[in-house]
Amino acid sequence: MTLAPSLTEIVYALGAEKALVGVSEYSDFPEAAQRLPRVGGLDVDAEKVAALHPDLVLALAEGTARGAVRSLAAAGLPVAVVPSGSLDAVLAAVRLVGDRVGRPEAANRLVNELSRRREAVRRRHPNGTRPRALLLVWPDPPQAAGGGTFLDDLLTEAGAVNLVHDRSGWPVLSLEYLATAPIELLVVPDSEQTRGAYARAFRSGALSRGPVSRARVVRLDESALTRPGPRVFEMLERLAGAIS
Amino acid sequence: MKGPRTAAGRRLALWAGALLLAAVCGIALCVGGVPLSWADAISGRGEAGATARLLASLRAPRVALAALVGSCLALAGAALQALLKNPLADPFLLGTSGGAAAGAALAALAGASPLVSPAAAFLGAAAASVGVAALARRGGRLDLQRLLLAGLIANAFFSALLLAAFSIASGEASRTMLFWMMGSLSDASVGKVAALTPYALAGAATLVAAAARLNLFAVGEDNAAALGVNTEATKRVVFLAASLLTGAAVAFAGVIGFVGLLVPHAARSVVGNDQRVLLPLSALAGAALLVGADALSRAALAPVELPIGALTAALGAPLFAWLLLRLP
Repeated sequence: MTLAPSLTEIVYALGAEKALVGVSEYSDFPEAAQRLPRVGGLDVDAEKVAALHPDLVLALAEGTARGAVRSLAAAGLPVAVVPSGSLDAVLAAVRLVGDRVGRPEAANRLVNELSRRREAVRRRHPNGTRPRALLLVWPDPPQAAGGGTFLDDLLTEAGAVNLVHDRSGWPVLSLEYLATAPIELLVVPDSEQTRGAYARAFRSGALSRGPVSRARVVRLDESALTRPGPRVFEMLERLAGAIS
Repeated sequence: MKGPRTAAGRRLALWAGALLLAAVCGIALCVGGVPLSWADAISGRGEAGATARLLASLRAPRVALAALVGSCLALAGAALQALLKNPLADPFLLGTSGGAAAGAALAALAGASPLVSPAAAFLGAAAASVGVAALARRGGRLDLQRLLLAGLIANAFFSALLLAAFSIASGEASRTMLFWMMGSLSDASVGKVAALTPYALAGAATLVAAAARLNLFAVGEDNAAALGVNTEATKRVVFLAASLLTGAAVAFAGVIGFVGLLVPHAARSVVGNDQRVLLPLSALAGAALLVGADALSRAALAPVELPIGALTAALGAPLFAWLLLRLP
């Protein structure tokens, strides 16, 4: 059982999906995961989790409601908390999940493949000029990926400089900052749910004035970009390709 | 009654309040996450001038909106405290702001554009006012104790609605909603200031006009009636004006708590309980408080902004506890 969409994706990537008895609310990738029982979104339905008798509950260190995780563990369910704060952590998460679902070789293969692709991206940018960038996970209020997040790693390794690297976590930025910061590259998640909000922000909101309104915009698939799962390495390749 | 008794003393208190507000606004215009040179904004050329003017065009409306919202909330609180003769009365206590917040949240949930949310907040505030007044009505009279209880019930109901809306909302929309629920002046604009001004003026004028009658409530409702005050009409007018002010403030800045509680108390400790001075002074001091708090929220952790509602609650909640302990 998984409590975050990125964990569902990892389980599928390891070919262990037959063992899944339940997934989190927003687990929509791959499509087959949508047919599994749902056990809640940000708030986990602890009773439903218990009723499905999982042998293992996978939760994210950040993102999954901590209280719910604690009460599941207190109820005697085996909970594994998986890291997600960097690209290295994503790889560690793949290994950890592989160990726990009995597919360590598959995890090893996946980690090697992802590491190889990551290394290839890294080699592509020996000493080019690095654009000053911002990755906005949401436009209203404008919330960016700061330091200590896997998306900070993504920006840096793709060859950009994250302007809010020294702010840890997911800082909400002021309009004054956005209107004046020397942003050359703006990375935004793209999906049907986000498109309207970003369009408004570009038209008349936080992204409508100053350097940011003239910045180059790279749109990446929202679910692949914002989940600390295997697909984020594909986004790394795309962003690096767009930058070079 | 303590405080200034002469017209000159009252004028002095109001001038002091106006001066305080002007000083705080001056400081607030100069501080923020990004340094702003007003010399460049006014006469700068080239890129420096353009950047400064861009910043000024963001900061000036924000200071103005903070001032308007602060005075709306403080006025509403001061009037309700006088009307209910209860130092703990606050627009938030009577469910008005809860109604406004629920209205806006439900509109956002129904997929309405963010532009609709102020209108929905007004509707919610109005619904809350009418509902609370209906619950508090007893034998054709607005019973003050029932009013407070009804406000409590309304608050419980609206916060349930709000929580439900929040948990149903998609992950993305709920982010905007949560931020707005915490109270924020971050997307201030000239348009918003212009839209809020008539409501603020109408509410303020109504309350100041009722100030002399409110003074008589201090000697008891029956005595006020005996002195020729139409107490029911006064209660209705003051209650509605306070609701209007609160609804307007919530619609444009989200839920910013405790200003309506904090400011009238501070003002009362300076000028006493004469509503003719207390109400205008509360408006000035409320504006100064919110402008100052907003400047702090912009500058403290720049470029990140502290939610201003969290800041005012951090100031107001201890005061509330202290008042509660002092109550007989």
